[in-house]
Amino acid sequence: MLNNESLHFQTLSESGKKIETSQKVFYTVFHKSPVMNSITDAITGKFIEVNENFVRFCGYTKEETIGKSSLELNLIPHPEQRAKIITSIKEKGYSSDVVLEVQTKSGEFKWVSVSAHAVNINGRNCFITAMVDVTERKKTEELLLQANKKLEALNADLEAKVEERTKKIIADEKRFRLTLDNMLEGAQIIGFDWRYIYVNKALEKQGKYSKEELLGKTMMEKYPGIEETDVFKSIQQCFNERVAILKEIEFTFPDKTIGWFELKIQPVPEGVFILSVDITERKKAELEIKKLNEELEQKVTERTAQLINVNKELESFTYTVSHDLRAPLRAINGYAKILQEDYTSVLDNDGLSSLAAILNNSKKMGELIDDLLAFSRLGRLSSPPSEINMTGLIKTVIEEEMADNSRDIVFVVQNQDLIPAMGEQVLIKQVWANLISNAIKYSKYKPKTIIEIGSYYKDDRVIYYVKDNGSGFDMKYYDKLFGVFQRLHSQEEFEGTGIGLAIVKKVIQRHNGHVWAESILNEGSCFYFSLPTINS
Amino acid sequence: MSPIEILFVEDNMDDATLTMRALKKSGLSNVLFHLKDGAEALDFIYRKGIYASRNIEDRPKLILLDLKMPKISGIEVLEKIKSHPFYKAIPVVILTSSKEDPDIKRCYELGANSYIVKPVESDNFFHTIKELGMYWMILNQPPH
Repeated sequence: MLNNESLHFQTLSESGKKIETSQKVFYTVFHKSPVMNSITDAITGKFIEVNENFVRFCGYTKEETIGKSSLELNLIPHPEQRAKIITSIKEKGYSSDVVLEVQTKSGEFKWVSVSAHAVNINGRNCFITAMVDVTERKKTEELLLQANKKLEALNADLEAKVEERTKKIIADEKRFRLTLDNMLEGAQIIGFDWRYIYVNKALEKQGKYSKEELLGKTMMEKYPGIEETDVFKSIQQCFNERVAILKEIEFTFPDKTIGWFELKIQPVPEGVFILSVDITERKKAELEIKKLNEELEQKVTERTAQLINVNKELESFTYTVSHDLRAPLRAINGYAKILQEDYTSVLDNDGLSSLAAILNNSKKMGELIDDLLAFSRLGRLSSPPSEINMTGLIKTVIEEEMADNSRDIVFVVQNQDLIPAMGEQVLIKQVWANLISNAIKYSKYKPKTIIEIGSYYKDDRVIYYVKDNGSGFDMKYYDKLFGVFQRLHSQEEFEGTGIGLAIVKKVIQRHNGHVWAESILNEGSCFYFSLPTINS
Repeated sequence: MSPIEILFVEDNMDDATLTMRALKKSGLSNVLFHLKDGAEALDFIYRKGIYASRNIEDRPKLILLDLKMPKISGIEVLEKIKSHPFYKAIPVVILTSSKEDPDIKRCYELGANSYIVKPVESDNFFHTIKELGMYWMILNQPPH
């Protein structure tokens, strides 16, 4: 437009008036145009003329501008952008709409769109340049560009993520499938049409068919008669109710072999997923154990019956012994008594003392038999253990033991009190009676008899003791102390059959306790026994 | 023959001799009748064999019964006595060699009145038998 104008302007320059009018028009158009106009020398690049908008835009006054080049004014920070315009003008005579950055006087950077034409004004080669402020546009573009870039980056990021995820999912799927394929449990997916959709390696082994034989086939095809089984009903239930079912099944294969499986049937979108563990070996072992247990029980029953039998035999033996041994003894003793009572006159002193010996010994043997029977009876008597008030019990025992005794005996009960314990009262009373009567008996040669009784806790037991200041015994014979009919003293010194401590030992052992003793010859003995506490 | 007051069933002749001697010393031997085993005791009760002609009214006041006898045991004899309409009211004292005797409980269940263990020692034995005889014959009035 400007180009045409200037041409027009040139052609009109011949006529003076018209020229003057045209100049006015040009002047006005140039200076008042909203576009920033300038005219520069084509060779020096120095400004020849700039319009108002140009001045306002660049911040330099007209005076500061005219005669200076844009480079001198430092208007164009990127001269290569300007070079582009120059090149275009040189080639085509004009350059249009080149966007470049300018720096105003205040140092502000702005964007302009530049169009320039080469013109000859009064024989001088000039460029007439029009600039439009496109800073706002450029800013918007810039923002857009940035937004776009951001978007692109986001997109790229997203794509990368998607790709990564996809890779991961594929890897996961691969891993899961690999896991599923190779895990020890059998895994299968059965479709609603009863067809095998998936089977793993373990299932091939469990089901006795290869994957190829199973996939796509129905369960009924592969296992005829399965409709009648529990497992079929459970799968059907899972199809319908869509709840997981846990089940232990016995399964008969088409080859008639039997297997046991633990199944977990759970609903999946395709149908059901079945996880199966082959428990055949375990089941076999269980059955074996059950069988063994039954056999064992049978054996126990047999043994118990045998034991009951033996016990009965023993009981009848005991009875026989007591009966059959006592009967002849009674006769010996009885007839000797008759002799003693009715025939004293016909016997001399030797005869009479022999008779006395017969009576004494047969009586003694009777006592031995009675003791033996009492001892064997311990093994058979049984009542549930209960809490025993030991203080009360020993009081009774002492009273009973002292009933026929005129000796002056001092009993010292430690703390006046004994710890209670669990036991069979009748038997424990016998223990106290034996120990206390022993203490009395074996201290009969001492001028003053002191018997100390006490108790204390040790571990989870109660320990009781009976201590005397009697004759004591030699510890080197200790191992004979608790034996049946074992005696460490002569009959003349201390009477007795030797059953008392054997009974003590047997009773305490029956209570899972211990019996022991300490003694110093001629100084005294101390007998200990332990019993369970009332809390045990 | 005077009426029988004590019926004594004992197979062991030694025990029988000693028991009868003890009772004799208490003045009870003349009314005592000794039967030598369970079979004879049953014959006596049911009036069979040599006792076929025995008077049924001749009823003892006390029966001393040994438990352990060959062929027919004291338990069986006791059972028969206690189920006999005519003899079941007679007190029966069981003689045994041992308090271990598993039949003692059974004896009480069948209605025995008491039991005594024959002691080995003769003083005791004589004493026990005498006491027993006296108690049941004199102190304890049998029901009629």
